[in-house]
Amino acid sequence: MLTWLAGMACWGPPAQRRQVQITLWHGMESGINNRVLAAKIDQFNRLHSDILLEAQVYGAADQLGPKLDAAVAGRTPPDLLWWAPAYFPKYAKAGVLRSVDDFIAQDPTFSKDDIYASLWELGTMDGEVYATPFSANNLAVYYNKAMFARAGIDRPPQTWAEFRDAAARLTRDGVSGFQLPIGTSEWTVWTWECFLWQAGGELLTSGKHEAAFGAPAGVEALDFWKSLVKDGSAVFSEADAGYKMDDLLSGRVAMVINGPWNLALLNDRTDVDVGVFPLPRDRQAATNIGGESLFLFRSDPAREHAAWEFMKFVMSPDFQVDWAIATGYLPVSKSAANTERYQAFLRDNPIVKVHNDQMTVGRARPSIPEYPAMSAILGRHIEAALYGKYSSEEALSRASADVDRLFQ
Amino acid sequence: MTRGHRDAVAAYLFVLPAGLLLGIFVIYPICELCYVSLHEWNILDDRMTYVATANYSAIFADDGFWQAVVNTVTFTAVTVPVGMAISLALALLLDSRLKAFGILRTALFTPVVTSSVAAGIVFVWLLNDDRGLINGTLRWFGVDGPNWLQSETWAMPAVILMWLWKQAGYNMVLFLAGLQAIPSSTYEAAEIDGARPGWQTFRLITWPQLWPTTFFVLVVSVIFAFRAFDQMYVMTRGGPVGSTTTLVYYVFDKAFKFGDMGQAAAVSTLMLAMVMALTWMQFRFRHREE
Amino acid sequence: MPARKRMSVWRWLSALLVAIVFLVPIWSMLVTSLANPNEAGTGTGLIPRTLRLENYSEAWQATNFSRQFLNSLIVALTVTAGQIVTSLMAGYAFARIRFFGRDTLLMVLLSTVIVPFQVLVIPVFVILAKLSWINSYWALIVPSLANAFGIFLFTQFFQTIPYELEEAAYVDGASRWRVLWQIMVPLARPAIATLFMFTFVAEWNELFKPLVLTSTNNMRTVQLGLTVFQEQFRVDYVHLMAAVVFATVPSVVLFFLGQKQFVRGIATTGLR
Repeated sequence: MLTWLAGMACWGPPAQRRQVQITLWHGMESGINNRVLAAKIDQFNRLHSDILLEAQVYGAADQLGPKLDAAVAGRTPPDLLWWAPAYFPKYAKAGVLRSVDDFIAQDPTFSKDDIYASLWELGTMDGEVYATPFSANNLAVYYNKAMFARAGIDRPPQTWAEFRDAAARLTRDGVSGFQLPIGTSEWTVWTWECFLWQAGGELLTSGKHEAAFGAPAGVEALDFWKSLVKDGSAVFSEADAGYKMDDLLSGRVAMVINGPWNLALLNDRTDVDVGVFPLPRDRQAATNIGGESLFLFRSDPAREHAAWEFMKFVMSPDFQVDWAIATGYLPVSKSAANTERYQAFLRDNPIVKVHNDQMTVGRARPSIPEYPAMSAILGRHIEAALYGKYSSEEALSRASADVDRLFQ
Repeated sequence: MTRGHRDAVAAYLFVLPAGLLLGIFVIYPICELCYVSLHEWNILDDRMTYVATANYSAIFADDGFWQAVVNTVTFTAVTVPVGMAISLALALLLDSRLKAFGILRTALFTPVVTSSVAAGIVFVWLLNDDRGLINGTLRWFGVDGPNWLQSETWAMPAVILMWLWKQAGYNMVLFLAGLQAIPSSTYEAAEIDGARPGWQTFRLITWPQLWPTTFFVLVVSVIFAFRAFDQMYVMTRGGPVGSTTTLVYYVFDKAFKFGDMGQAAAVSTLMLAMVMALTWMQFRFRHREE
Repeated sequence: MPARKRMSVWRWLSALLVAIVFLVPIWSMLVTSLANPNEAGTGTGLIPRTLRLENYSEAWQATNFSRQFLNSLIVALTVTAGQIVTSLMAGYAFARIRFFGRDTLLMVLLSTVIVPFQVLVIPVFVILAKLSWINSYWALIVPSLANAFGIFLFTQFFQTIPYELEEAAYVDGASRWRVLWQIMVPLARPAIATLFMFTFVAEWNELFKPLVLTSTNNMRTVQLGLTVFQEQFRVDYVHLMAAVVFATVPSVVLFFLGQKQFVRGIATTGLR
């Protein structure tokens, strides 16, 4: 007994002081996703008695940029940041992120191959991994089934022409066929990029330091959006709020573009029957792969290691399946996707299955430091074109000129 | 140490806290602002590179900057005279010792103490395209109101409307103070001279006597209009298509959306110069009056 | 004089009408905040049909409003107290003591009133970033602890107080410090009340400062929290208005309690 006590004493300071405290910043302000994450963080803290992870909410992911810059400039960044992977290179280039390559190499309990290679690519710059996948998603069209039936549309539109036709037919009795995201933020740009790719266009030239979206394919994509407005069959969303489902759910529009994270919300709303179909194709089918990754900020070895533990925890099949089933996000690892539990979930949730199947035509935003600035430029010009201030051609050529300057 | 010396030391010590704080957070920043405006500064890696006047030429070449100048001038040119006219009219209307009028004055002043965030959100609701009270009222008169905040043409008028509502009570109080400072003997004398109460007295007595107040209200209104930000942030985020992006909003966007501190500082420096010029003019004007 | 009388009836009516027009937005906010959430889909009008008080508790619980209220209170009260102290001290010195460079110093300090924070945000941000104060109470409080308005207010106020009140104390050998706090401060109560109202209301209503200087929800103030709440509940006007109501209550109540000081403050100095 006495030796045991002595042994205890040798263990040093009490547990409270042994703890490594780390912070996670994320953008889930409320709702089920936030609650599930909180529960998972509790679980993590219980599993790792030496780590205390505390989560803080930064609000709209669209507007994090300046706030994060401020935190970095003030030397008070979080240890871990939950954000779209397209944003990490800017911070990696500034030298404030820590690469996780050595953690991956030295950690025998972690298998890198289990995670989809395309997701690793999103988090890699100059051959080093800075952002590890948290969850995946992509965009599809959400529609009001009753309105489709009333308009006599029995098969979801598959091409741009069919989509335009459907939107026109759905526009009646004060309902608009489609809602276009408006505002200058990333959401608008992210959505538009799908159409750019469908038209066969590219954001950048293959060298990734010159704009390519001003080519005819880009003009076609923007013209397609403009044609929906001109037809009177598309209305604008509220500014910078294209991701809101409210107008679809309240029956003011028949179709919106959105993602699988709305699953819980849709399950709650039994009063409207919402269906999902893949984004329409033009020359090819395409959607934009999104989702969030975790960025690891430099601090000290103990905190960095603790943060890596959480990254690993998030990528584990257990977390991925629980998270995917509760929120609708797509899992990031093969082992999670192949579990019987997840497969059964897909069978019961056609909405998620559409997104899951669409992953094969998914493209991703380039992982370059200039992306945020490029997105801001594109956002402003897309909005200006939709408001008729510029022709599609002029808007995109002006945007190209501005983007090219970023690479000089 | 003599009494006078002791007093002087005490005085310096008394002024020290305020002086130090204002020195660090207002006066020094003015110098720092000019310094930053001549540099390219990446806030992430904290590197400053001297670029001479490159930031200034960059903003002068930016359409967005000129749009912000036009928007700020428009906003100021409309809110200042219209707001002043409304406030003066309200002050003349409510200049009375009656208790009931005191209550009405309180009603008009309440918007001033509500936050611009709250007021902005309320106006977003009132201006809602099809459910809002304003378009509802217009519909009642057979007018189909615009989708205010999503229209390039109507967003600025909507923001101005909200501003007028919120600021009217403030200038009214200034005018009331000015009116009450006019000695009643002046009016009595005018009446004896045969001036009829109403327009004539206003033109001959009130307006000239009120002029110092009016001028002061003008300067204050211009400075307030100049720094307007919250309304745009809450109601329009500077949009659509930059139609409500004022200079302060432009600075905010440049600095905290694009991270371009140098260019943002250049715009701020120009604004600072304008504010100072304006104040100097007011100062000169006052001195000539006296 | 019948003509006069008719005039005043007209005046009465128009004054009443104007006040009603000005109160419509506030009234509409109250009606909407008490409406049935499904009702807002069709507009709520001006006649309350329901008085659904649960909207308030639902909005309060929907996000971290209690923390935000606490933050706003801490910031507003500390800033207000700080400004009162620094302004009292400086105002007393400027009004009562002759010292070298007094007028120049006063003019320099007072001229800072014309420089809006919005214009200085970048250098102030730089300073606060270097101090690692971004996203902390320090950033929200320290830069606002002194203000030209307060200095002006107290300088003017102390000039109106007769010297005789101090004389006796000096004869007894009291220091300037003691005279300030034991004799002048009690006399300055009305001016203190004015500054308290002004600063508290301005700080409570402030958006730009917390927007730029904070990053996470635990540091958000009420007004900033309200803009975030607006993003989330963009179309749920009922709960949005409920949140607007409770975020507005403190400053409006304070104004009703101290209208006189408030209005006198504007009238004597002209600036917030």
